[in-house]
Amino acid sequence: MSYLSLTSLTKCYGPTTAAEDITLEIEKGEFVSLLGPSGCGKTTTLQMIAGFVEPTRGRILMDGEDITHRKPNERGIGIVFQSYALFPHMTVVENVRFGLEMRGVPTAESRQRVGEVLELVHLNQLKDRYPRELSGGQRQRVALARALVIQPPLLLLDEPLSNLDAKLREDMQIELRNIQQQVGTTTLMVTHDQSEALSLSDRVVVMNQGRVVQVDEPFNAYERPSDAFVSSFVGKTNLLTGLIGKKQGDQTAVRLGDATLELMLDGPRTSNQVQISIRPEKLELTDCASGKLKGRVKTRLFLGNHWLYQVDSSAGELFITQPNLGKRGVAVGDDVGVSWSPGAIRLLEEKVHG
Amino acid sequence: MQNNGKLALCFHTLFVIFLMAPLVVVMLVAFTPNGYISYPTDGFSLRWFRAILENRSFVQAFWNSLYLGIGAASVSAVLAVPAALAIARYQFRGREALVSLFLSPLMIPHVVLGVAFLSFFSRIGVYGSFYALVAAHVIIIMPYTMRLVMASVFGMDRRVEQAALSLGASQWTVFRRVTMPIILPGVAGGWILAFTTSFDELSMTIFVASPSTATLPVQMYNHIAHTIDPLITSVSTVLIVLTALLVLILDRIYGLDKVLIGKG
Amino acid sequence: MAELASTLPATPPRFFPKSLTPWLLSAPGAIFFLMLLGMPLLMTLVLSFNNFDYAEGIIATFSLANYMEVVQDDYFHEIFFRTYVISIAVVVLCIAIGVPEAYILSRMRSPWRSLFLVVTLTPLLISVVVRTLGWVLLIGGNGLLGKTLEGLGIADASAGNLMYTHTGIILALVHVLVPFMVISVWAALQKLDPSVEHAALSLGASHTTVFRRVVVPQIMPGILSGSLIVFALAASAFATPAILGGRRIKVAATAAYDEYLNTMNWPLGASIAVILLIANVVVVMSYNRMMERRFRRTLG
Repeated sequence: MSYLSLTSLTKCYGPTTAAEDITLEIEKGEFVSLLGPSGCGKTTTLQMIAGFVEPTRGRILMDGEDITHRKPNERGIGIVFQSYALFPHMTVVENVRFGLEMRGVPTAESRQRVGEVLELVHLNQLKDRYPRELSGGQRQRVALARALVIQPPLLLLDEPLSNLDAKLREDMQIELRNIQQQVGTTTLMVTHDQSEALSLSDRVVVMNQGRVVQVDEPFNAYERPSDAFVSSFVGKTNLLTGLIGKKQGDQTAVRLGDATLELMLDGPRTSNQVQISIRPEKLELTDCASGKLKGRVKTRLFLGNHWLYQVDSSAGELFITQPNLGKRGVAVGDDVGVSWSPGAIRLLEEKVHG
Repeated sequence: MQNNGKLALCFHTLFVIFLMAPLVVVMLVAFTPNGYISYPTDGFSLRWFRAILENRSFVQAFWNSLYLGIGAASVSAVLAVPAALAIARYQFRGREALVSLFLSPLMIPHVVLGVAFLSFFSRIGVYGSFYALVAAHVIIIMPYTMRLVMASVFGMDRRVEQAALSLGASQWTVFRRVTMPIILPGVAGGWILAFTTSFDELSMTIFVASPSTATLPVQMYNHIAHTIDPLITSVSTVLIVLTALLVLILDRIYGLDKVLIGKG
Repeated sequence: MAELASTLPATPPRFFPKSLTPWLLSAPGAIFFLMLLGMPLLMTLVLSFNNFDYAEGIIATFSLANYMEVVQDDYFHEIFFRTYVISIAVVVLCIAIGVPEAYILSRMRSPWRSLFLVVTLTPLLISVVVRTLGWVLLIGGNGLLGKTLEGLGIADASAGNLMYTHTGIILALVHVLVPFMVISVWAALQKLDPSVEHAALSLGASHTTVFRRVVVPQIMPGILSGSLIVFALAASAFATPAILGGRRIKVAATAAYDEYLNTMNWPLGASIAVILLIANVVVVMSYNRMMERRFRRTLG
C-alpha cells in the first residue's frame, strides 16, 4: 500500500471547481511533482494535503491513517512555502527551533537537531541572523531546515524555487535533490516550471484545469506525452495535423504537408485527422532535396549552445533547434529540407471533450 | 481558516455595540416629540429637525463650517501638490526637514495651537476674522492632505512622465495632461479628508472663533455647556447622517481604509 | 504622529541637480507654515515667560514665575497627574479592545470585513462633540446605562451616573480613540504574509500560540504606533473631558482653556500649553528612537 494516497479529492468554490477528482498514490521516500500552469489546481491540492483547505469531497490517507479532516497543526507535515514564510521577528535558530518547541522536545536534543539540520543546509555560520538579513537562497535554506527539523512524514514544497534567480535556481535544484535523497523524506512539490519538475522528481503529475492529465516518470512525460496539453506544457513542441489515408497491414498512411508517413494507428478513429507532436530538437535541417518536408527559413535566433529556427513548411510553421557546432549554418530566406528519425514522431490521443 | 470562533464573534458584537451605542442614542432622542431629553421616546416627531432651521445661530454656524472647510481644504491642496512634487522628485537640502515641517501639526496638541493662534491673531489684529480661521485650519489639516498627495506622487510610475517628455510634451503639459490626472484621486481623497477634519475641529477653533465666525462644533459645544436639549441631538443626527453619506462616497471611490491609513 | 516615524521612500534620482525648482515648488507651503505656525508658537513661548497682573494685564518681562507656579502648585500637579493617568488608562483599554478587534476584522470573510472596517472607522469622521454627547445621554443622570442597570436589577440607577467621574471620561475617550488603534494594527496586519501563520500551524502550533508567538510580535510596531497616537490625543483631548468632566475634573487642555478664556491669565495658560507641547514632543521622539532601535533588524 502506498504511503500517501489521495482518493477523488475535489475542491469547489461555489460554482467553480479548483481541483476535481484528484487520485494519486505516492510511495514512501518518493519525490513527486505536481506540474501545471497557474490555476490548474495544484496549489489547492497541496493546501488540502496540508490541511489549510477543506476538501469538498474525497479522502487523504497518510501512512494508512485518514487525515482528511485533521487540523493542520496536528498533521505534522513539513511545508516549504513559496514566500518562505519565515518568522521575521525570530533569528534563523529560533525559526528552526519553533517546531521542536511546539513538540516539547528537550533543550539538549533540540539544540543537537537544530545544529544537524543547519549543517545539512550549510547555514551554521548565519544562525543568529534575522530573515531580512539573509539572501533569497539563504532564506530558502532556512525554510527547508525549519520544515525538515521536525522529521516530517511528508514534505510539501510550494513553488520552492520560484523566487530565486535563474543561476541560483539551478544550484538549489541540485542541492534540494541531494538533501531529499540524503534524508529520504517523502516529498511532494508544486511547480509551474517544467524543467524543475523534470530534474527533481521521481514522478511528475501533470495537471490542467483542475484535473490530473498524466502521471509518469519525467522521461516518459517528456517523450510520451499523453495529449497535446502535456506535449506543449512539458517542453516545447511542434503540434501538427496529419490527414489519415489508406491502411496497409498495420501501417496507415498519414499525409503531413508534402510528406507521407507510415504510422501505426491503434484503435478506431472518429475523424480523418490525427495530431502529431515533434520536439524541435528532434528535427534536422538538411538541404532542399533530401528533406522529408520542404521549407524556407523565416527567422533564426542564436542562443549560444544552439540555434533556434522558425521554418515555413508545407506542414505548417516549425520550430527547429540545432546544436551550435561552430558553423554559421543556413540563413534567413534559405530553402531547406526538414528531416527526422522515425522514432521522433509522437501520435497524440484524440482530445476527449467534456 | 478565515473563520473566527464563537468567542471572537461575541467580542466583535460587543465592540460594535460599544462603538454604535452613543450614536444610536443620539439619533433616537432626536425624534422625540417632547420638549426635554426623554428616552425610550414615547412618540415620533420631526419637530426638533424643524427647530434647527428656526435657530439662526446653528444655521449660521453650519454655513461657517462649510465655507471654512472648503476654503481650508482647497488652500491646503494648492500648497501641498507642488510641495509634494518637489519632495518626491528632487533631491535637495532640507527635503526631510520640509516633510517634518508639513507633518508637524500632528505632533502639536490642538489646544496648544489654539492658544498660539489666539495670541498671534489678537496681536496682528485679525482675531475672529474668517480668513484667520481659514489660515489656522490650513495648518492643522495640511498633514492629512500632504500624506495622501505624497502617497500618490510616490506611487506613480515616473516612466509615464518620461514617456510624455520623449513624445515632445513640455514640462507644463506633462504636469497638466499626465501627472495631475494620475495623482488626482489622491489629491481629491486628501481634500475630502482635510475637509471633514476642518469641519469637525473644535479644540483649536474654540480659541480663535468669534461669535460671528463660530463653527458648528463650537456652536454645539457652547450649547451643550449651557443646556442639553433635543435640539442638540437633532443637529447631531443631521451631522451623523451627512458624515455617513460622505463615508459611503469615500469608501466607494477609494476604500475608506486606504484614505485613513494613507496608503492611497 | 506615527507618520512621523516612517521614513521617506528611497531618495529619488537627481533630476535637475542644483535646480531652483524644488525650492520654488515648496516655497509657498514652507513660507505659509513658518509664518503661521512658527510665529504663533514662538509668541506663545515668549508669552509663557511674561507675567500677569489682574490690574495691569500682561507684563512683558522675562521670568520663570509661571513655570515655577505650575511645578510647585499642587493644583497643577493634580491636573497633569490626572491627565497622564487618564491617558495611560485609555491606552491600555484601547490595546485590550483594539488589537483583538483588528485581528478579528482581518480574519473575516470578504464582504463582512470591509463592512465592519467602515463601521469601525466611520466614527473617526464624526465630530467628537457629537460622540461625547452620546456618552452624556448614556452615562448622565437618568441615562440609559443607569436605567439598564436598574432594569436588570444589578444596581440602582445612580450607579450608572458616570458624569464628572474619571471612569466616564476614560470610557468616552476610549470610544473616541479606539478606531486609531484598530487602524494602526489593521495596517500592520495587512503587511503580514498569511503563509507565515500557516507555517506556524504546520509546525504544530495551536491558534493561541500562533497569535501570541507569531502574530503579536510582528504587529508590535502597529500596536506601539497606535498607542502613541492614542496617548498623545488622550493627553491633549479637550472636548470630551470638558463636556464630561466640566470644571470638576480638569485636565491639562481644559485648564489651559480656563486660564485663557476665563481667568484671562494668558502667560500662565501659555506655560501650561508649552509644557503640554514639550511632553508630547518628548513622547513622540523617544518613541521614534525606540522603534528605530528595536525593529530595525527584524521588521525594518
